[in-house]
Amino acid sequence: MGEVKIIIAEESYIIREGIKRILSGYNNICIVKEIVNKKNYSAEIANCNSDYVFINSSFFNNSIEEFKHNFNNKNNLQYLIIFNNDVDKKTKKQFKNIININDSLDVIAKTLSKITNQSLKTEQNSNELSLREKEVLREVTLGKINKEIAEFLFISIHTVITHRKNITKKLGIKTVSGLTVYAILNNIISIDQTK
Amino acid sequence: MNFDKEQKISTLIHNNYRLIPIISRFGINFGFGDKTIAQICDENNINPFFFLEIIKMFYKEHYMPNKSVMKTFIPETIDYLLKSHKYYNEIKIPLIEQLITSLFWIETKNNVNRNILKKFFNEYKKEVIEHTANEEENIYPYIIEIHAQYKSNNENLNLINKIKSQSITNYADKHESLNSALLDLKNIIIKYLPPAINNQTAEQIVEEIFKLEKDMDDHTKIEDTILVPIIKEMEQNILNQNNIN
Repeated sequence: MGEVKIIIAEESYIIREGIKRILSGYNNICIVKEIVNKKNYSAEIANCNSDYVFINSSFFNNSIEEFKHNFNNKNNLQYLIIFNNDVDKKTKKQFKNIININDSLDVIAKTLSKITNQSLKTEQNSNELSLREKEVLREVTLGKINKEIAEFLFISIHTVITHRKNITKKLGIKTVSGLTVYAILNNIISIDQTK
Repeated sequence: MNFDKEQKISTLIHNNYRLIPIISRFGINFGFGDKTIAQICDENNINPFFFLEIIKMFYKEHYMPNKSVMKTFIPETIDYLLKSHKYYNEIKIPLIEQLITSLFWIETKNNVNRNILKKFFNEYKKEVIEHTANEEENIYPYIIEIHAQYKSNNENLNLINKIKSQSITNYADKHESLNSALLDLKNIIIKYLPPAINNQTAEQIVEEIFKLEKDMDDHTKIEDTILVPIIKEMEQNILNQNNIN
């Protein structure tokens, strides 16, 4: 299965970041949009090309009727509903994919694996690059220095260095020209972008 | 396996084929019949003790040549290192380059795989040329000069100033980045490129890189762990003789 484009509609910063952190363990996930408040949210979802919407049930006030009214299966979009509380069985049946913020990682990973068709790869057992590492790799191969990468991705220089160490460890490639070759072969950058 | 002057040179090769490029660096070519190391060295004007030290280093994984023996063979060592440079730049690297050029894949636009490999290897090649040129133009002549001065007792102010300004300890070691490039190239071919149509060529390239890597490792070992400490000692000795600390 190819790339899965995901919109995250979630007001809580902590939950949003938590979901993104878990999703980084799948290498075919691409987060195309983050919706952080309810204003015009259904239009925002409709205007963005995606495969899945991860949405907090508070966006439709926990009301199935409101949910159905708002979405009515537009554009073949699929949904994963994020619940802030335990859900009763009746509600559960109404939705195909549910996660509850109190769920354990195992339960969440099971649900996400159905969507991504992949199993969750934790850092210990995988040599695949996470999305963040791919972003760092991309900037490295475009010739940026650590400080520029840190500013561009809004992370600290220290974090950039850690990502770079992990990239080299995972790939077995140390030199920038070697990393560039890897990035071209894996379509992280195009050959025209290299100098 | 005995490493002494009476050992037949053909026995050496039969026991370890990786010695083939090493003996040719000493100007020894095939067709040596049952001649011993002593005979061959005599014919080719090679010091057999020096020859044995180099051979042992290549033969045994962790062998460290004897420092006091090596100290008496500085010009020979430099000559050997120069010949290895020639071997890398004129034989091994062009060979790998040529093999890369002959790789081909089906259905790739504009031979993109080959082109990026070529580009990567070209950068490596350039780096090796610069590195070896710097050693040949600056480092090795300096070593020869120190060695000559060490043996004579004439005062040489010019050289003393050189020791102070560009001691062998400043001999910036860039071997590591050269080595990393070879390692990267192996992984790129083994792990990341799609299989080429002529996969045997890809296998051959990786084999050649492994050999080049080992050869260069031993080359670096001679420079960093033998030459540099010996020259450092000689530098200090020259300074002491001239009452400079």
